[in-house]
Amino acid sequence: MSVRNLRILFPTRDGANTVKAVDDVNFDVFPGETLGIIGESGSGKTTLGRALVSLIKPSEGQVLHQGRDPATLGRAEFRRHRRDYQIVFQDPNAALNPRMTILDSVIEPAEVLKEGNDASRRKNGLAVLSRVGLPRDMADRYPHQLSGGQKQRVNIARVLMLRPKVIVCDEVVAALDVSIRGDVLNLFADLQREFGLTYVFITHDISVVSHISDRIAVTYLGKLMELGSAEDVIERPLHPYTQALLSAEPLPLPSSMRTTRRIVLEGEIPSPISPPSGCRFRTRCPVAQPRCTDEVPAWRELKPGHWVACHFSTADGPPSTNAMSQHNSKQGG
Amino acid sequence: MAMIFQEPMSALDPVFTVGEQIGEAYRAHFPADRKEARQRAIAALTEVGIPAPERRCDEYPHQLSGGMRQRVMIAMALICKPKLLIADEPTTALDVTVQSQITDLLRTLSERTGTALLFITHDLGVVAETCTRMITMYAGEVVEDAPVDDVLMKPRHPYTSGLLRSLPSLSARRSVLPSIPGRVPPPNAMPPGCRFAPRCSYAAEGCQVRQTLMTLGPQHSVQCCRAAEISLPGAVN
Repeated sequence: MSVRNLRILFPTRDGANTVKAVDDVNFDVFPGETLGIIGESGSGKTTLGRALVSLIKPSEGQVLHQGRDPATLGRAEFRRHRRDYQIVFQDPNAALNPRMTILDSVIEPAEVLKEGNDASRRKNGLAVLSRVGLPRDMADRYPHQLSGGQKQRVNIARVLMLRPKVIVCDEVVAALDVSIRGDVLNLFADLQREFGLTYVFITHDISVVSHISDRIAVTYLGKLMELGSAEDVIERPLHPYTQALLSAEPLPLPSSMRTTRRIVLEGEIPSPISPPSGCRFRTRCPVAQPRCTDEVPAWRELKPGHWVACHFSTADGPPSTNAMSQHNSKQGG
Repeated sequence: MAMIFQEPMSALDPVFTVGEQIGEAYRAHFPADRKEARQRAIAALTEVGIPAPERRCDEYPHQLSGGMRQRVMIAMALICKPKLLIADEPTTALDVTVQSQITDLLRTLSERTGTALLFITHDLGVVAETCTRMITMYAGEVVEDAPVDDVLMKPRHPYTSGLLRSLPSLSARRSVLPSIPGRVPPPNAMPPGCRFAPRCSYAAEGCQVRQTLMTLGPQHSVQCCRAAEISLPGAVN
Protein backbone atom coordinates (compact mmCIF):
# COMPACT_ATOMS: atom_id res chain seq x y z
CA MET A 1 0.00 0.00 0.00
CA SER A 2 1.07 3.58 -0.46
CA VAL A 3 -0.22 6.65 1.27
CA ARG A 4 0.34 9.93 -0.59
CA ASN A 5 -0.34 13.36 0.86
CA LEU A 6 -3.26 11.92 2.77
CA ARG A 7 -5.53 14.36 4.55
CA ILE A 8 -8.67 13.37 6.41
CA LEU A 9 -10.74 16.16 7.86
CA PHE A 10 -13.97 15.94 9.82
CA PRO A 11 -16.35 18.80 10.48
CA THR A 12 -17.14 19.39 14.16
CA ARG A 13 -20.71 18.83 15.25
CA ASP A 14 -21.60 22.49 14.99
CA GLY A 15 -20.00 22.66 11.58
CA ALA A 16 -17.93 25.66 12.58
CA ASN A 17 -14.52 23.95 12.63
CA THR A 18 -12.67 20.98 11.18
CA VAL A 19 -10.83 18.26 13.01
CA LYS A 20 -7.61 17.65 11.12
CA ALA A 21 -7.42 13.99 12.01
CA VAL A 22 -4.80 13.05 9.42
CA ASP A 23 -2.83 15.90 7.91
CA ASP A 24 -0.48 15.24 4.98
CA VAL A 25 0.83 11.77 5.66
CA ASN A 26 3.14 9.87 3.31
CA PHE A 27 4.45 6.33 3.68
CA ASP A 28 4.52 2.88 2.10
CA VAL A 29 3.61 -0.53 3.46
CA PHE A 30 5.76 -3.33 2.07
CA PRO A 31 4.45 -6.82 1.32
CA GLY A 32 4.88 -9.28 4.17
CA GLU A 33 5.93 -6.73 6.77
CA THR A 34 4.41 -5.73 10.07
CA LEU A 35 4.25 -1.95 10.20
CA GLY A 36 3.51 -0.71 13.70
CA ILE A 37 1.80 2.64 14.05
CA ILE A 38 2.12 4.12 17.50
CA GLY A 39 0.47 7.24 18.84
CA GLU A 40 -1.53 8.70 21.68
CA SER A 41 -4.99 10.31 21.68
CA GLY A 42 -5.65 12.60 18.77
CA SER A 43 -2.75 11.19 16.78
CA GLY A 44 -5.04 10.10 13.95
CA LYS A 45 -3.81 6.52 13.94
CA THR A 46 -7.27 4.93 14.07
CA THR A 47 -8.55 7.19 11.29
CA LEU A 48 -5.47 6.32 9.27
CA GLY A 49 -6.09 2.59 9.80
CA ARG A 50 -9.64 2.88 8.54
CA ALA A 51 -8.56 4.88 5.53
CA LEU A 52 -6.08 2.14 4.63
CA VAL A 53 -8.96 -0.31 4.16
CA SER A 54 -11.27 2.20 2.47
CA LEU A 55 -13.64 2.54 5.42
CA ILE A 56 -13.02 6.27 5.39
CA LYS A 57 -12.57 8.37 2.25
CA PRO A 58 -9.60 10.68 2.01
CA SER A 59 -10.44 14.39 2.03
CA GLU A 60 -7.28 14.97 0.00
CA GLY A 61 -4.52 12.71 -1.26
CA GLN A 62 -4.65 8.99 -1.88
CA VAL A 63 -4.39 5.55 -0.44
CA LEU A 64 -3.11 3.20 -3.14
CA HIS A 65 -3.47 -0.56 -3.11
CA GLN A 66 -0.74 -2.08 -5.28
CA GLY A 67 -0.58 1.17 -7.18
CA ARG A 68 -4.32 1.45 -7.77
CA ASP A 69 -6.69 3.88 -6.11
CA PRO A 70 -9.64 1.80 -4.81
CA ALA A 71 -11.85 4.89 -5.02
CA THR A 72 -11.67 4.64 -8.81
CA LEU A 73 -13.04 1.09 -8.94
CA GLY A 74 -16.60 0.31 -9.96
CA ARG A 75 -18.92 -1.09 -7.30
CA ALA A 76 -18.63 -4.75 -8.21
CA GLU A 77 -14.89 -4.58 -8.68
CA PHE A 78 -14.47 -2.67 -5.44
CA ARG A 79 -16.38 -5.35 -3.56
CA ARG A 80 -14.09 -8.04 -4.92
CA HIS A 81 -11.05 -5.88 -4.26
CA ARG A 82 -11.93 -5.26 -0.64
CA ARG A 83 -11.48 -8.85 0.42
CA ASP A 84 -7.72 -8.37 0.22
CA TYR A 85 -7.67 -5.47 2.68
CA GLN A 86 -9.28 -6.35 5.98
CA ILE A 87 -9.41 -4.98 9.52
CA VAL A 88 -9.79 -6.34 13.06
CA PHE A 89 -11.00 -3.91 15.71
CA GLN A 90 -10.32 -3.33 19.38
CA ASP A 91 -13.57 -4.39 21.01
CA PRO A 92 -14.13 -8.10 20.40
CA ASN A 93 -17.71 -7.80 21.70
CA ALA A 94 -18.91 -5.02 19.50
CA ALA A 95 -17.59 -6.82 16.42
CA LEU A 96 -19.79 -9.91 16.80
CA ASN A 97 -23.53 -10.10 16.29
CA PRO A 98 -24.82 -11.45 19.61
CA ARG A 99 -27.64 -13.30 17.84
CA MET A 100 -25.49 -15.26 15.42
CA THR A 101 -23.53 -18.38 16.27
CA ILE A 102 -19.78 -18.21 16.05
CA LEU A 103 -19.70 -20.27 12.88
CA ASP A 104 -22.38 -18.17 11.22
CA SER A 105 -20.41 -15.00 11.99
CA VAL A 106 -17.24 -16.50 10.62
CA ILE A 107 -18.75 -17.60 7.31
CA GLU A 108 -20.81 -14.44 6.75
CA PRO A 109 -18.14 -12.69 4.62
CA ALA A 110 -18.00 -15.70 2.31
CA GLU A 111 -21.79 -15.63 2.02
CA VAL A 112 -21.73 -11.94 1.15
CA LEU A 113 -19.23 -12.62 -1.62
CA LYS A 114 -21.23 -15.68 -2.73
CA GLU A 115 -18.25 -17.96 -2.37
CA GLY A 116 -18.94 -21.66 -2.73
CA ASN A 117 -22.11 -23.15 -1.29
CA ASP A 118 -23.46 -23.70 2.23
CA ALA A 119 -21.57 -26.95 2.69
CA SER A 120 -18.20 -25.66 1.47
CA ARG A 121 -18.53 -22.47 3.49
CA ARG A 122 -19.24 -24.40 6.68
CA LYS A 123 -16.32 -26.69 6.01
CA ASN A 124 -13.93 -23.77 5.45
CA GLY A 125 -15.36 -21.96 8.45
CA LEU A 126 -14.68 -24.92 10.71
CA ALA A 127 -11.17 -25.24 9.32
CA VAL A 128 -10.35 -21.61 9.96
CA LEU A 129 -11.81 -21.75 13.50
CA SER A 130 -9.56 -24.68 14.20
CA ARG A 131 -6.63 -22.78 12.73
CA VAL A 132 -7.10 -19.98 15.24
CA GLY A 133 -7.08 -22.49 18.07
CA LEU A 134 -10.80 -22.74 18.84
CA PRO A 135 -12.25 -26.20 19.45
CA ARG A 136 -15.02 -27.61 17.24
CA ASP A 137 -17.69 -27.24 19.91
CA MET A 138 -17.32 -23.43 19.88
CA ALA A 139 -18.83 -23.26 16.41
CA ASP A 140 -22.43 -23.44 17.58
CA ARG A 141 -22.04 -21.22 20.62
CA TYR A 142 -22.95 -17.57 20.93
CA PRO A 143 -20.53 -14.72 21.62
CA HIS A 144 -21.61 -14.24 25.23
CA GLN A 145 -20.41 -17.76 25.98
CA LEU A 146 -16.82 -16.96 24.97
CA SER A 147 -14.08 -15.03 26.72
CA GLY A 148 -12.60 -11.81 25.32
CA GLY A 149 -9.56 -13.62 23.95
CA GLN A 150 -11.71 -16.29 22.31
CA LYS A 151 -13.94 -13.65 20.71
CA GLN A 152 -10.94 -11.89 19.30
CA ARG A 153 -9.83 -15.19 17.76
CA VAL A 154 -13.26 -15.47 16.16
CA ASN A 155 -12.77 -12.03 14.64
CA ILE A 156 -9.43 -13.12 13.26
CA ALA A 157 -10.99 -16.30 11.85
CA ARG A 158 -13.69 -14.28 10.13
CA VAL A 159 -11.11 -12.09 8.45
CA LEU A 160 -9.09 -15.13 7.38
CA MET A 161 -12.08 -16.65 5.59
CA LEU A 162 -11.35 -14.31 2.70
CA ARG A 163 -7.62 -14.99 2.64
CA PRO A 164 -6.71 -11.29 2.60
CA LYS A 165 -3.34 -9.83 1.71
CA VAL A 166 -3.36 -7.09 4.32
CA ILE A 167 -4.87 -6.97 7.79
CA VAL A 168 -5.06 -3.71 9.70
CA CYS A 169 -5.10 -4.53 13.42
CA ASP A 170 -6.56 -1.65 15.41
CA GLU A 171 -5.66 -2.03 19.09
CA VAL A 172 -6.50 -5.72 18.84
CA VAL A 173 -5.16 -6.72 22.24
CA ALA A 174 -5.92 -3.55 24.20
CA ALA A 175 -9.20 -4.93 25.57
CA LEU A 176 -7.71 -8.27 26.57
CA ASP A 177 -6.19 -9.31 29.91
CA VAL A 178 -2.45 -8.81 29.99
CA SER A 179 -1.70 -12.49 30.58
CA ILE A 180 -3.49 -13.68 27.43
CA ARG A 181 -2.31 -10.99 25.04
CA GLY A 182 0.76 -13.10 24.33
CA ASP A 183 -1.37 -15.91 22.91
CA VAL A 184 -3.23 -13.63 20.53
CA LEU A 185 -0.03 -11.91 19.41
CA ASN A 186 1.63 -15.28 18.87
CA LEU A 187 -1.34 -16.33 16.74
CA PHE A 188 -0.97 -13.21 14.60
CA ALA A 189 2.72 -13.99 14.10
CA ASP A 190 2.01 -17.62 13.14
CA LEU A 191 -0.67 -16.64 10.65
CA GLN A 192 1.61 -14.09 9.08
CA ARG A 193 4.27 -16.70 8.46
CA GLU A 194 1.80 -19.27 7.17
CA PHE A 195 -0.25 -17.03 4.88
CA GLY A 196 2.29 -14.39 3.91
CA LEU A 197 0.16 -11.64 5.43
CA THR A 198 1.02 -7.98 5.69
CA TYR A 199 0.01 -6.28 8.92
CA VAL A 200 -0.49 -2.68 9.89
CA PHE A 201 -0.57 -2.82 13.67
CA ILE A 202 -2.05 0.22 15.35
CA THR A 203 -1.57 0.62 19.07
CA HIS A 204 -0.75 3.02 21.87
CA ASP A 205 1.16 0.29 23.71
CA ILE A 206 4.89 0.70 23.22
CA SER A 207 5.80 -2.72 24.57
CA VAL A 208 3.47 -4.44 22.11
CA VAL A 209 4.54 -2.40 19.08
CA SER A 210 8.23 -2.88 19.74
CA HIS A 211 7.76 -6.59 20.16
CA ILE A 212 5.91 -7.39 16.95
CA SER A 213 6.84 -4.75 14.37
CA ASP A 214 9.41 -4.79 11.57
CA ARG A 215 9.10 -1.05 11.18
CA ILE A 216 7.46 1.55 13.40
CA ALA A 217 5.76 4.84 12.49
CA VAL A 218 5.26 7.37 15.27
CA THR A 219 2.23 9.64 14.89
CA TYR A 220 1.32 12.85 16.70
CA LEU A 221 -1.70 15.06 16.07
CA GLY A 222 -2.33 13.83 12.56
CA LYS A 223 1.23 13.78 11.28
CA LEU A 224 4.13 11.35 11.18
CA MET A 225 7.04 12.27 13.43
CA GLU A 226 9.32 9.33 12.72
CA LEU A 227 9.42 6.13 10.66
CA GLY A 228 12.14 3.50 10.65
CA SER A 229 13.05 -0.06 11.52
CA ALA A 230 11.67 -1.16 14.88
CA GLU A 231 15.12 -1.61 16.30
CA ASP A 232 16.27 1.85 15.20
CA VAL A 233 13.16 3.67 16.38
CA ILE A 234 13.17 1.94 19.77
CA GLU A 235 16.91 1.85 20.47
CA ARG A 236 18.06 4.99 18.63
CA PRO A 237 15.06 7.33 18.19
CA LEU A 238 15.77 10.50 16.29
CA HIS A 239 12.68 12.57 17.10
CA PRO A 240 12.24 14.29 20.49
CA TYR A 241 8.64 13.05 20.72
CA THR A 242 9.65 9.44 20.13
CA GLN A 243 12.35 9.82 22.73
CA ALA A 244 9.90 11.23 25.29
CA LEU A 245 7.24 8.63 24.46
CA LEU A 246 9.65 5.76 24.95
CA SER A 247 10.98 7.17 28.20
CA ALA A 248 7.44 7.60 29.55
CA GLU A 249 6.75 3.90 29.39
CA PRO A 250 6.90 2.43 32.89
CA LEU A 251 9.15 -0.62 32.96
CA PRO A 252 8.38 -3.54 35.27
CA LEU A 253 11.91 -3.70 36.61
CA PRO A 254 13.33 -3.25 40.11
CA SER A 255 14.52 0.29 40.84
CA SER A 256 18.18 -0.66 40.58
CA MET A 257 17.63 -1.60 36.94
CA ARG A 258 15.52 1.33 35.86
CA THR A 259 18.24 3.55 34.58
CA THR A 260 16.72 5.50 31.67
CA ARG A 261 16.22 9.12 32.51
CA ARG A 262 12.58 10.00 32.11
CA ILE A 263 11.71 12.94 29.89
CA VAL A 264 8.54 14.40 31.36
CA LEU A 265 6.61 16.37 28.78
CA GLU A 266 4.85 19.48 29.96
CA GLY A 267 1.19 19.99 29.28
CA GLU A 268 -1.13 17.84 27.25
CA ILE A 269 -1.83 16.97 23.67
CA PRO A 270 -3.37 19.99 21.89
CA SER A 271 -6.68 19.68 20.09
CA PRO A 272 -6.63 18.47 16.48
CA ILE A 273 -9.13 21.21 15.71
CA SER A 274 -6.51 23.91 16.08
CA PRO A 275 -3.14 22.22 16.07
CA PRO A 276 -0.06 24.36 16.76
CA SER A 277 1.48 26.13 13.75
CA GLY A 278 4.78 24.94 12.36
CA CYS A 279 5.78 21.78 14.19
CA ARG A 280 2.77 20.26 15.96
CA PHE A 281 4.91 18.98 18.78
CA ARG A 282 6.53 22.32 19.62
CA THR A 283 4.19 23.20 22.52
CA ARG A 284 5.50 20.25 24.51
CA CYS A 285 8.98 19.85 23.05
CA PRO A 286 11.76 20.38 25.58
CA VAL A 287 14.01 21.89 22.90
CA ALA A 288 11.59 23.90 20.75
CA GLN A 289 13.07 26.91 18.94
CA PRO A 290 11.52 29.93 17.18
CA ARG A 291 11.91 28.18 13.83
CA CYS A 292 9.57 25.45 15.07
CA THR A 293 6.68 27.92 15.32
CA ASP A 294 7.19 29.34 11.85
CA GLU A 295 8.06 26.37 9.71
CA VAL A 296 6.56 22.89 9.37
CA PRO A 297 9.50 20.46 9.58
CA ALA A 298 10.25 18.60 6.35
CA TRP A 299 9.96 14.81 6.26
CA ARG A 300 13.63 13.94 5.88
CA GLU A 301 15.34 10.58 5.33
CA LEU A 302 18.18 11.02 7.84
CA LYS A 303 19.42 7.46 7.48
CA PRO A 304 18.46 4.95 4.79
CA GLY A 305 14.87 3.98 5.52
CA HIS A 306 14.69 6.18 8.63
CA TRP A 307 12.53 9.30 8.25
CA VAL A 308 12.10 12.13 10.74
CA ALA A 309 10.11 15.37 10.87
CA CYS A 310 12.23 17.68 13.03
CA HIS A 311 14.31 20.68 12.03
CA PHE A 312 17.14 19.80 14.36
CA SER A 313 17.43 16.01 14.40
CA THR A 314 20.50 14.48 12.80
CA ALA A 315 21.44 10.92 11.94
CA ASP A 316 23.14 10.79 15.34
CA GLY A 317 20.10 11.60 17.38
CA PRO A 318 17.37 14.01 18.41
CA PRO A 319 18.24 17.58 19.39
CA SER A 320 19.45 17.77 23.00
CA THR A 321 19.37 20.73 25.36
CA ASN A 322 23.17 21.03 25.07
CA ALA A 323 23.13 21.09 21.32
CA MET A 324 20.33 23.65 21.34
CA SER A 325 22.15 26.12 23.59
CA GLN A 326 25.26 25.79 21.42
CA HIS A 327 23.10 26.36 18.36
CA ASN A 328 21.59 29.45 19.92
CA SER A 329 24.89 30.96 20.95
CA LYS A 330 26.17 30.43 17.41
CA GLN A 331 23.14 32.30 16.07
CA GLY A 332 23.92 35.11 18.51
CA GLY A 333 21.04 34.52 20.93
CA MET B 1 -10.17 7.87 53.40
CA ALA B 2 -10.57 8.95 49.80
CA MET B 3 -10.83 7.26 46.44
CA ILE B 4 -10.16 8.11 42.81
CA PHE B 5 -11.42 6.14 39.86
CA GLN B 6 -10.41 5.11 36.40
CA GLU B 7 -12.76 7.26 34.35
CA PRO B 8 -12.62 10.83 35.57
CA MET B 9 -15.37 11.88 33.19
CA SER B 10 -17.89 9.51 34.76
CA ALA B 11 -16.77 10.36 38.28
CA LEU B 12 -17.21 14.12 37.90
CA ASP B 13 -20.65 15.69 37.77
CA PRO B 14 -20.99 17.43 34.40
CA VAL B 15 -23.34 20.16 35.63
CA PHE B 16 -21.20 21.53 38.45
CA THR B 17 -17.94 23.38 38.13
CA VAL B 18 -14.76 21.71 39.15
CA GLY B 19 -14.34 24.13 42.05
CA GLU B 20 -17.83 23.42 43.38
CA GLN B 21 -17.14 19.69 43.38
CA ILE B 22 -13.82 20.00 45.16
CA GLY B 23 -15.41 22.41 47.63
CA GLU B 24 -18.25 19.97 48.19
CA ALA B 25 -15.79 17.32 49.32
CA TYR B 26 -14.41 19.73 51.88
CA ARG B 27 -17.75 21.01 53.14
CA ALA B 28 -19.01 17.46 53.64
CA HIS B 29 -16.51 17.06 56.46
CA PHE B 30 -15.66 20.54 57.76
CA PRO B 31 -17.75 23.62 58.54
CA ALA B 32 -16.99 26.20 55.85
CA ASP B 33 -18.91 28.65 53.70
CA ARG B 34 -18.75 28.73 49.90
CA LYS B 35 -16.07 31.42 49.88
CA GLU B 36 -13.70 29.48 52.08
CA ALA B 37 -14.43 26.25 50.19
CA ARG B 38 -13.55 27.97 46.93
CA GLN B 39 -10.25 29.24 48.34
CA ARG B 40 -9.41 25.76 49.52
CA ALA B 41 -10.36 24.34 46.12
CA ILE B 42 -7.99 26.77 44.41
CA ALA B 43 -5.22 25.77 46.80
CA ALA B 44 -5.92 22.10 46.08
CA LEU B 45 -5.80 22.70 42.32
CA THR B 46 -2.45 24.42 42.74
CA GLU B 47 -1.11 21.52 44.74
CA VAL B 48 -1.94 19.09 41.96
CA GLY B 49 -0.15 21.20 39.42
CA ILE B 50 -3.02 22.77 37.48
CA PRO B 51 -1.95 26.09 35.96
CA ALA B 52 -4.24 29.14 36.34
CA PRO B 53 -6.21 27.48 39.15
CA GLU B 54 -8.51 30.49 39.80
CA ARG B 55 -9.77 30.27 36.24
CA ARG B 56 -9.97 26.47 36.12
CA CYS B 57 -11.91 26.45 39.35
CA ASP B 58 -14.93 27.87 37.55
CA GLU B 59 -14.76 25.55 34.56
CA TYR B 60 -16.84 22.47 33.93
CA PRO B 61 -15.38 18.95 33.60
CA HIS B 62 -15.95 18.82 29.84
CA GLN B 63 -13.70 21.84 29.41
CA LEU B 64 -10.72 19.97 30.79
CA SER B 65 -8.58 17.23 29.27
CA GLY B 66 -8.39 13.70 30.68
CA GLY B 67 -5.17 14.36 32.54
CA MET B 68 -6.54 17.56 34.07
CA ARG B 69 -9.73 15.83 35.16
CA GLN B 70 -7.71 13.18 36.89
CA ARG B 71 -5.77 15.90 38.69
CA VAL B 72 -9.10 17.38 39.77
CA MET B 73 -10.09 13.98 41.15
CA ILE B 74 -6.82 13.83 43.08
CA ALA B 75 -7.39 17.35 44.41
CA MET B 76 -10.88 16.35 45.53
CA ALA B 77 -9.52 13.24 47.19
CA LEU B 78 -6.73 14.95 49.08
CA ILE B 79 -8.51 18.08 50.24
CA CYS B 80 -9.57 16.52 53.52
CA LYS B 81 -6.06 15.23 54.11
CA PRO B 82 -6.99 11.58 54.27
CA LYS B 83 -4.74 8.98 55.83
CA LEU B 84 -5.47 6.61 52.96
CA LEU B 85 -5.99 7.29 49.25
CA ILE B 86 -7.35 4.43 47.14
CA ALA B 87 -6.60 4.88 43.45
CA ASP B 88 -8.44 2.44 41.18
CA GLU B 89 -6.70 2.25 37.81
CA PRO B 90 -6.20 6.04 37.83
CA THR B 91 -4.00 6.14 34.75
CA THR B 92 -5.42 3.37 32.57
CA ALA B 93 -7.57 5.74 30.52
CA LEU B 94 -4.75 8.26 30.03
CA ASP B 95 -2.07 8.58 27.37
CA VAL B 96 1.31 7.28 28.44
CA THR B 97 2.95 10.72 28.43
CA VAL B 98 0.22 12.02 30.74
CA GLN B 99 0.25 8.81 32.78
CA SER B 100 3.80 9.42 33.93
CA GLN B 101 2.84 12.92 35.11
CA ILE B 102 -0.03 11.52 37.17
CA THR B 103 1.93 8.65 38.76
CA ASP B 104 4.73 11.08 39.63
CA LEU B 105 2.16 13.42 41.17
CA LEU B 106 0.55 10.69 43.25
CA ARG B 107 3.87 9.48 44.53
CA THR B 108 5.18 12.96 45.36
CA LEU B 109 1.98 13.98 47.13
CA SER B 110 1.81 10.77 49.11
CA GLU B 111 5.42 11.13 50.20
CA ARG B 112 4.94 14.76 51.15
CA THR B 113 1.65 14.45 53.04
CA GLY B 114 2.25 11.02 54.52
CA THR B 115 -0.95 9.71 52.95
CA ALA B 116 -0.87 5.97 52.32
CA LEU B 117 -1.54 5.12 48.69
CA LEU B 118 -3.41 1.96 47.71
CA PHE B 119 -2.85 1.74 43.96
CA ILE B 120 -5.03 -0.75 42.09
CA THR B 121 -3.78 -1.60 38.61
CA HIS B 122 -3.05 -4.37 36.12
CA ASP B 123 0.08 -2.55 34.89
CA LEU B 124 3.21 -4.02 36.46
CA GLY B 125 5.32 -1.20 35.04
CA VAL B 126 3.27 1.34 36.94
CA VAL B 127 3.59 -0.75 40.11
CA ALA B 128 7.36 -0.91 39.70
CA GLU B 129 7.64 2.85 39.42
CA THR B 130 5.07 4.02 41.90
CA CYS B 131 4.76 1.46 44.67
CA THR B 132 6.90 0.13 47.47
CA ARG B 133 4.88 -3.00 48.18
CA MET B 134 2.84 -5.19 45.88
CA ILE B 135 -0.08 -7.48 46.63
CA THR B 136 -1.05 -9.89 43.87
CA MET B 137 -4.65 -11.01 43.78
CA TYR B 138 -6.20 -13.92 41.92
CA ALA B 139 -9.82 -15.04 41.84
CA GLY B 140 -10.67 -13.04 44.93
CA GLU B 141 -7.70 -14.04 47.07
CA VAL B 142 -4.35 -12.52 47.98
CA VAL B 143 -1.71 -14.85 46.59
CA GLU B 144 1.44 -12.84 47.19
CA ASP B 145 2.46 -9.84 49.31
CA ALA B 146 6.00 -8.51 49.11
CA PRO B 147 8.21 -5.45 48.56
CA VAL B 148 8.14 -4.49 44.89
CA ASP B 149 11.82 -4.88 44.11
CA ASP B 150 11.89 -8.32 45.76
CA VAL B 151 8.82 -9.65 44.01
CA LEU B 152 9.99 -8.42 40.59
CA MET B 153 13.33 -10.17 40.96
CA LYS B 154 12.09 -13.30 42.67
CA PRO B 155 8.35 -13.84 42.63
CA ARG B 156 7.26 -16.72 44.84
CA HIS B 157 3.82 -17.41 43.41
CA PRO B 158 3.43 -19.02 39.96
CA TYR B 159 0.70 -16.54 39.00
CA THR B 160 2.90 -13.51 39.72
CA SER B 161 5.70 -15.15 37.79
CA GLY B 162 3.35 -15.94 34.89
CA LEU B 163 2.19 -12.33 34.76
CA LEU B 164 5.74 -11.04 34.64
CA ARG B 165 6.79 -13.50 31.98
CA SER B 166 3.86 -12.59 29.74
CA LEU B 167 4.92 -8.95 29.41
CA PRO B 168 6.18 -8.13 25.92
CA SER B 169 8.63 -5.57 27.31
CA LEU B 170 10.47 -8.39 29.08
CA SER B 171 10.65 -10.70 26.03
CA ALA B 172 13.11 -10.58 23.17
CA ARG B 173 11.73 -8.82 20.13
CA ARG B 174 9.78 -11.10 17.77
CA SER B 175 10.06 -14.04 20.14
CA VAL B 176 7.12 -16.22 21.06
CA LEU B 177 5.40 -14.63 24.04
CA PRO B 178 4.65 -16.80 27.05
CA SER B 179 1.15 -16.60 28.46
CA ILE B 180 -0.88 -18.26 31.17
CA PRO B 181 -3.13 -20.98 29.71
CA GLY B 182 -6.81 -21.20 30.60
CA ARG B 183 -8.96 -18.53 32.17
CA VAL B 184 -9.95 -17.17 35.55
CA PRO B 185 -12.61 -19.48 37.07
CA PRO B 186 -16.08 -17.98 37.21
CA PRO B 187 -17.29 -17.15 40.75
CA ASN B 188 -19.79 -20.01 40.76
CA ALA B 189 -17.23 -22.61 39.69
CA MET B 190 -14.23 -22.08 41.91
CA PRO B 191 -11.85 -25.04 42.16
CA PRO B 192 -11.98 -26.68 45.62
CA GLY B 193 -8.27 -26.34 46.38
CA CYS B 194 -5.86 -23.72 45.07
CA ARG B 195 -7.82 -21.50 42.70
CA PHE B 196 -4.86 -21.15 40.36
CA ALA B 197 -4.01 -24.88 40.24
CA PRO B 198 -5.89 -25.67 36.97
CA ARG B 199 -3.64 -23.20 35.14
CA CYS B 200 -0.44 -23.78 37.06
CA SER B 201 2.53 -25.67 35.61
CA TYR B 202 3.77 -26.46 39.12
CA ALA B 203 0.51 -27.94 40.42
CA ALA B 204 0.91 -31.10 42.51
CA GLU B 205 -1.00 -33.28 44.97
CA GLY B 206 -0.94 -30.77 47.81
CA CYS B 207 -2.62 -28.15 45.65
CA GLN B 208 -5.99 -29.84 45.78
CA VAL B 209 -6.71 -28.56 49.29
CA ARG B 210 -7.51 -25.01 50.40
CA GLN B 211 -4.31 -22.98 50.53
CA THR B 212 -3.24 -20.54 53.22
CA LEU B 213 -1.07 -17.46 53.15
CA MET B 214 2.38 -18.38 54.50
CA THR B 215 5.24 -16.16 55.57
CA LEU B 216 8.38 -16.86 53.58
CA GLY B 217 10.64 -14.11 54.73
CA PRO B 218 10.44 -10.79 56.57
CA GLN B 219 7.68 -8.95 54.64
CA HIS B 220 7.14 -11.66 52.02
CA SER B 221 3.98 -13.81 52.21
CA VAL B 222 2.72 -16.19 49.59
CA GLN B 223 -0.26 -18.51 49.19
CA CYS B 224 1.37 -21.52 47.58
CA CYS B 225 2.14 -24.82 49.27
CA ARG B 226 5.12 -25.36 46.98
CA ALA B 227 6.68 -21.92 47.32
CA ALA B 228 9.67 -23.15 49.30
CA GLU B 229 10.62 -25.81 46.78
CA ILE B 230 10.10 -24.11 43.40
CA SER B 231 12.26 -21.52 41.72
CA LEU B 232 10.30 -19.12 39.56
CA PRO B 233 11.46 -16.78 36.78
CA GLY B 234 11.02 -13.09 37.51
CA ALA B 235 11.35 -9.88 35.55
CA VAL B 236 15.05 -10.44 34.94
CA ASN B 237 16.54 -13.73 33.85
